[in-house]
This record gives sequence, C-alpha cells and structure tokens, in this order.
Amino acid sequence: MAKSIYRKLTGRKGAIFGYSQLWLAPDHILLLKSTHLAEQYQRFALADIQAITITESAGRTPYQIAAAAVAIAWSLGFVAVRSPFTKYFFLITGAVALAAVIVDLLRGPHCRCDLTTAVSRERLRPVSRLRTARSFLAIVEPAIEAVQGSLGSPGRIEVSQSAPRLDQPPQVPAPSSLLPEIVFGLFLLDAALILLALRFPRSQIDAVLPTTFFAEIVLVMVALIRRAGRDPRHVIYALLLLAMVGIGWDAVGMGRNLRAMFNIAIETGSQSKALEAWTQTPLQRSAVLSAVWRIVAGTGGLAAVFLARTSK
Amino acid sequence: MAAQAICCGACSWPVPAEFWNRPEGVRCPGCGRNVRASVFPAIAESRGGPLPEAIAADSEASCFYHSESRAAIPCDQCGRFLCRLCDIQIEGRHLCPACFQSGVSARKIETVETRRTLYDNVALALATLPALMIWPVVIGAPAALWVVFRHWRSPLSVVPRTRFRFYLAALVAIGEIAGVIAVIWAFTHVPPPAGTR
Repeated sequence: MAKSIYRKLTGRKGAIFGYSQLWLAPDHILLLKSTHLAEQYQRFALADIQAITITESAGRTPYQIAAAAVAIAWSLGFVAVRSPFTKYFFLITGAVALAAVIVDLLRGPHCRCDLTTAVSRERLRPVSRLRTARSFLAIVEPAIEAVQGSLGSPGRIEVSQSAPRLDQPPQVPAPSSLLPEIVFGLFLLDAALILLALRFPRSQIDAVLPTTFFAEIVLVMVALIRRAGRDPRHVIYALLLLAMVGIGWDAVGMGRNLRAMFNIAIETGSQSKALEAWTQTPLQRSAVLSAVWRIVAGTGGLAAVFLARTSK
Repeated sequence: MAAQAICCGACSWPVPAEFWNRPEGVRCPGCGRNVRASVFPAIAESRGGPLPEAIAADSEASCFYHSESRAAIPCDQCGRFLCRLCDIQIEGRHLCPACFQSGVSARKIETVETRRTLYDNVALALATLPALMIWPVVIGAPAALWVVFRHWRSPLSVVPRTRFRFYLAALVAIGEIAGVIAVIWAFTHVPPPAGTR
C-alpha cells in the first residue's frame, strides 16, 4: 500500500446509508462521505479556510433520563412474564437500550461544527461532540496557522455590511402545517367508523378503531408538541387540546368496556351459557358520545383551518 | 479590511469580531448557546485571483491562450507558456487548463477527484449478500470474482485502505462456487438411500 498523505482527524459519523469522516492532508482538509459502495470527497484548502465555528447544541439530559427510565421499565418486564425466552428477551433488549443511553451520556454534549471559506459554509457532521471538536481544533488550528499565520487583533477587521445587523435574529417564517387538517379529518373518519360499527355490529369495523385511536393520540401529540409554539393559528391548537380531553375520556370508557366484557365473559362461563354478542352492552351510549364529540371537533377544526387559510 | 460575518451555527446570528478566537467561546445573543469561533487571516484577504500582466515589448513571450498577456511560467506537462490567469497550481505542479482537464478525465490528479467507487466493497457485497437467499449465489459468486479480477488494480479510496476486502471477497466467492459444484456433484453422483425410490 502506497503511503497516504492523509491523517485521520475524526472517527466515522454514521448516517442512514453510510458515514462521513474528516482527514487532514498537508495542504487541505478532506471531508469524506461514503455510502459503503462509493465515496465522495470535498476538499478545503488550509489557505482558504476563514473560520471554524463550534456551536454547542441544546442540552439533551431530560431526553436521556427519559430514555434510561423507559429502558429500565422495559427490562423490568422480565419479572412480569413466565416464559424463559420472553424473560431473556426483555432483559437483553432493555440492557442494550440502557447501554446505548449510558454510552451517549459518556460521549459528552453534542455540538455543531461549521467551516467557512470565502465561497461556502459547510457543516462538518463528523464533529458532532464537544470532545471531538476540541481534539479536532487542537490539530487543525496549528495546521491552518502554519499556512496562514495567526490573525492578530481581530478588532481591525471590518465585517461586511451584508451581514445582518439587527437587534433580534430575523424571523424565519414557518410554513403552516397540514397536520391539524389531517387530525380533524381523522376525527371525522373515526366518528363515521364508530357509527358504522354501531349500525352494523357484525361487520367487524370496530377492529380498525384501536389503530385509528392510537393514530389520533400520536398525531395530536405531535401537532401540539412540534407546532403549537410556532403556528399562529391558536384556535386550532386549543381545539386539539380539548380533543385530548375527549381522547382521555374515551380511554377511560374503553377501560370500563373491557372490564364489563370480562365480567360478562366470566359470568356466562360460570353459568355454562353460550356467549351473547357483547356489542349489545349498555356502553353503546358512550360510543355515540365518542362519535359526537369527534364530529363536533372535526367539523369545528376544519372550519377554523379553512377560515385561517382564507383570511391570509 | 472587509470580511464576511462569522455566524452562530444554530441561529446564524453574527458573532462580533471582539469575540473571535476566544477558547471559552461566547454566549450567542440570538439563541443563548455557546459559540466558539476560530477565525483565520484568510477572512481579511481579498477574493480576487492573480491578474495577468500585459506584454510591454515585442520580444516578450506571450501566453499560449492569451496573446496579449505576458507569459509567466511554462506548463509542467506540455511546456506551453502560460500567463498568471492560465497557470493552475496543483500538487506542486503548474498546469495549463487543457492538461489539467485531461488529468482530471484520466484520473491522474488525485487531489481533484470528487468521487471513487469502492470496488472491494462491491465485490464483498456480491459475494455475501446473495448468499442470504442461497440460490442467487450462482450469479453473485462469479460476479464477485469478476469484479475482483477486473478492478484489482483500480484505485480504491484516496484515504488509507488495504485490499483485505478483495482477498475476503475472492475467498468467499471461491468457497461458494466450490459449494455449488459439490451440491451439483452430489445430486448427480450420490445414489439416494435405499427405500426412498
């Protein structure tokens, strides 16, 4: 193997279909992006590099604690099951997840690294931890200064007038999301499914409902967490918040339903009678109420969305 | 000296020049995150390249591509005279645009290559992935061997890399081919156990 001019600067930073890595040559930095079957190269001449900025990322400790708690709770599943296979499954998968969280904690805080030249600003993804950033700068800064010299007093450099000079960073207008429309549409769809299940009890339409209810919960939470703070359409998000109350009430109703169904099954079994259809339980009323609040929330929400879009 | 602004990576807020090159960084007024800006003298340099000089006397040599410009240096590849504008400095050599272009096309100038195929990984993938579904090995193994022989001398990555994957791919492919031959031989030569006919 011929002697290479490159010296490794960082480890591999994984991506979905490959990785990226930084290497140092005598006169340039090489950003290598690999798909495992091919590699792409970007070179930054040391003489052309104007700046390297390291920006600390927002803290992720709450998420890491939550992930650790979930991993521990998951691995505790081994006490709740009897099968040895399932016991080991819970234990091993939980331990792996916990180990991943611990490794993430040990690797230290995240950061973002940008390299600026006269004509480009490139994000260096392999430098994603503060620890990596420090060791990266410890090698690269002397190499660049050996080519360019040191800057001296930066106060004498006049920053270009094209740079923004505002009291606050410019607002980036966020495009309004279609997620509320999808959620309100899903409410109407679920209402229709509930009513159809009540009207045709043997059609097994109700088998779809747990999935769509789960989709409702996920979408409402995503809409509230990700968009509510940035989207000015407050009425829509207030409606979604109210819908969460309805969904919670539904969950309580479903719990009651299940208990009633178990009671009926146990009672019928103890009397050695044939099981009757339990869709005829007294809980039809709660199903109707579920459909009604969904119709109200769905139509109200879609109307609000329509009005918000037309008023722009 | 006018320079472009150095910005926070999270919110693009410009970092004032007095906070550059501080090891502890500075809290960004835009997003509140800590930003460390390492700034180098290139920020203060003008972006213009060298300009060619005009010919002052008839006795002076002119650029091959610009007859009105004074020649500054000959091309290391073809010997044509070049002005400062046409001189391309790459890997310690001075090349004219034509030689540079032919060098790029022929992949002779490594430091301007932007893409390379990793034939060793291709061969290894051809040798191993079809084996997951067993019968595609009949195609995958010979294809892997072909890639190994065809691209044994092709350049791999520009960064250090051994040919270990080529050896491994060839070994796996030969093993698979031997296995296929053994199975075919067993079907045609080994009689079935008594009583199964």
